[in-house]
Amino acid sequence: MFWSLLIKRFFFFGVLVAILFSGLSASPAQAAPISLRVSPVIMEDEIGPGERIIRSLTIENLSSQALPVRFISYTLAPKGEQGELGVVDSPIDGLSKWIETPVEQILSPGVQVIQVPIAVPQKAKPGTQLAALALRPLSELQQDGGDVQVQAELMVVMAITVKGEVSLKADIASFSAPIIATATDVPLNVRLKNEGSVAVRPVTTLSIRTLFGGEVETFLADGQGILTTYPGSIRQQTYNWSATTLPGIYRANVLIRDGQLREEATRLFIYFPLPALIGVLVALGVALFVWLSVTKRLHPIRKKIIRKLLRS
Amino acid sequence: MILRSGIASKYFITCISVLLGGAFFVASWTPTIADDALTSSSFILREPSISSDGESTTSSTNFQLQNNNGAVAPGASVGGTSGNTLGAGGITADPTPPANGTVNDGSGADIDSQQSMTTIQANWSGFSDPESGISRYEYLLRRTVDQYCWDATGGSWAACSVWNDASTATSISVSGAGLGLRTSTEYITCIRAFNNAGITVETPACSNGVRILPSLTFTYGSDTVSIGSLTSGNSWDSLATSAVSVTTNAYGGYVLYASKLTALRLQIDTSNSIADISDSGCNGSAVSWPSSGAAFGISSTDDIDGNKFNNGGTKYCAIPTTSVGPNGVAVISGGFSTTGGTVTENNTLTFRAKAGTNQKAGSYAVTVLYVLVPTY
Repeated sequence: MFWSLLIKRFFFFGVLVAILFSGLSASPAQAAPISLRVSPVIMEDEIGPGERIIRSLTIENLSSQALPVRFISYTLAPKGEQGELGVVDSPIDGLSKWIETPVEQILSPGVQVIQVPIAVPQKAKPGTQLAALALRPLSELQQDGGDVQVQAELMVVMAITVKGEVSLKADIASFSAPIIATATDVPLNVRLKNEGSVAVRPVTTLSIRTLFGGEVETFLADGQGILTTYPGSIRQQTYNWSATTLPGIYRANVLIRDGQLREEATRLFIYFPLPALIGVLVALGVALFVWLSVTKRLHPIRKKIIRKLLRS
Repeated sequence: MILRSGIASKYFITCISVLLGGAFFVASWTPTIADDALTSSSFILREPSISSDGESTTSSTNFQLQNNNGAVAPGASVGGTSGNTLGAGGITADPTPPANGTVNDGSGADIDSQQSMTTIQANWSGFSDPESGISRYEYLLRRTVDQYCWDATGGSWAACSVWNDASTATSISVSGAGLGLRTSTEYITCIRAFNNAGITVETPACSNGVRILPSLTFTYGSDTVSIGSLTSGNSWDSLATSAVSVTTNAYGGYVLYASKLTALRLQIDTSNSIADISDSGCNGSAVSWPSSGAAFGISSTDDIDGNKFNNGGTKYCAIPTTSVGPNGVAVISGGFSTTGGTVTENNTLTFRAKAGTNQKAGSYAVTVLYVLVPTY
C-alpha cells in the first residue's frame, strides 16, 4: 500500500515536471545563427574572347537549417587605396554580365558544389575586369516590431583577364619613410599605380642599406600585406622594418616585380631610436651640468690667479 | 683486390681513404674499365670510392671515374661482393641519366587546388634507369609568388635552387612551422632521380602546381536584431547587439561592410523615419553618440580603421542607405593574417536608435545588409 502510494506520488511529480518542461521548450526559440563557408572566394582566370569556362564553387551550409540562397552578380571597383573593393554601377557590357548567375537554391546543411559558367563575348576588350558573385541567404522580413532585419551577402571576387594585347605597367607613385625614425619599427609606405590593362600582383622586396651601401637587411615584404593593384587604381601598403641596428643614416629601397615589370625607389632616413635619443639627451644634460659646475668652481680660482698676477 | 671485367685493365688507381660500411679501408687495385666507356688515357677514382683492407667485405657500392681533365666519365657501378673479392658483378658503365617520370601534386592523382594550409604533398612515378637503376630522389618545392624554394634542412624558404633529399621514397609530405602556406600563389614540386652511378637529369620533372583555395566562413547571430521599445523609461534611447564571425585564409584578408536598404522608418507610415547619426561619412573615423536629437547608428568591437569605433569610448557610424558606389557602405570589420595563415575574427555589432522629441509613435524597421568581401 505504502509503495503504491509512493509510486503514484512520484508519477504525479514526474508528469508535472514533464508538463513544465514541455511548456518551456514550446516557448519561442531564438533564431539560429546563419553560417556559410564558401571556397574559393577569389577566382582568377585568363579567358580568351569567345570562350566559355565553368568554375566550381563549394558552399558549405554550417547552419542547422536549410537556407534559401540567391545569387547576384555585381561589378566591383577598388575603394580607396587599401585594397578594399566596393560595388559600383555595372556597365552595359562587362564581367558581371558575363557571369551566368546560378538560379536561386535551397542549401541543405552540408557541402554543395555550384557550377558557375563565365562566357566572354568575342568582342571583349583584353585586360582584367573585376566582378563579384554574391550569395545572399534569404530571410522573411518581419513586418511587426521595430526590429533591425539583417541580411548578408558573401561575395566571391572574380578577377578575369581577357586574353589579347594587354599591357602590364605600373609605377611607384610614392615611397616614403619618416625623416627621423624614432621607433624600432620603421614604417615604409609604398603606393603603386597601375597604368596598364591587367592587374598587377607583384612581389615586393625591401632592403635597408647604410649610407655607404652596406646591406643591413633585405626582406620580402609580402608577409605584411600585398600590393595587388587593379588597372587604373592606386594601392598603398605600409611595411615595417624592425630595426636592430645602430642609429644612423640609412637608405631604404623598394623593389616591385611582376613578370617583366620591375620598379624601384629609394629613400634616405635617419634612424634614431627613442631610447638612444633619450640617452644622448641625458648624456648632454649631464655634460652640461658638469661643465657648469666646474666652471662655477673655477671662477674664484681664476679670480685669485688674476689678482695675484695683478699684484705682481 | 681485383675488380674483374670482360676487358683487360689498363690503369692503376690508388685509393687513399674510403668509407665502406662505416669503416675506413686503405688499399689499391687495378680495375678493368670498358674501352668504349672511357676514352681518356688516365683516370682517378672519384668519390664515393671503395676499397678494402684485404679482409672480407660483403657490401657493394657505386663510384664514378674522373679523367685528368676533371671531367666525370660515365658512371659505373660495382656489383655485390663476397669474400675478399670486390666487384664480383664487375663494372657496368652507365653513361646516361635516368629517364624522367611524372610528378603529381597531392597524395594520389594530381590535384590543382587544396584546402590544407599546413601540408604540401606530392608523389611521383615512372622514373627509371635500365643501366644501373634508381638510387634516390631529390625534390625541390617552389612557390611562384617569389620563386623561393623550400629548404627542408633549415625549415624555411630560401632563394632557389634548394634540393632536398627524398631518399628512395616516391612521395613527400612537407609541413612545419616555417612552411607558412598561403593563398594567391602556386606550389610546384620538381623531382630529380639519381641512378646508381650518381648521375641525374639536367632538366627535372615538375608538377603543374597546386594552389590553396581562399575560403571565407561567415556566421551571424540571426536575421533579426531587436532594439526594443524606445520609451521615456530608457530616455527614448535603446540598443541591441549582434555577433558576427569571419574566418578566412585569403591572403589579403577581408572587409565587412554594412549598408541599409531604407531608412529606419515607421512601418505604417514610411515617410516618418529616425535620422542617421551625423558621422562625417564614417571614413576612417566614427563619432560619439549624440546627447540630443534622433539618431540611428552602428558600432563594432573591431579595431578597424585605427580602432575608430573604440577610440576614447564607444563611437558610432551611420549606415549608408545604398550599397552601390565606393562610399555607399560603412566599414565595420576587417582583418588579415600577418602570417599568411587563417584568421578568425569574432566581433559584436551594436545597433543603436534614439527617438527625437517629435518622433511619431509606432513600430520602426530597417533592413541592414552585411557585405563580406575578400580583399583582392
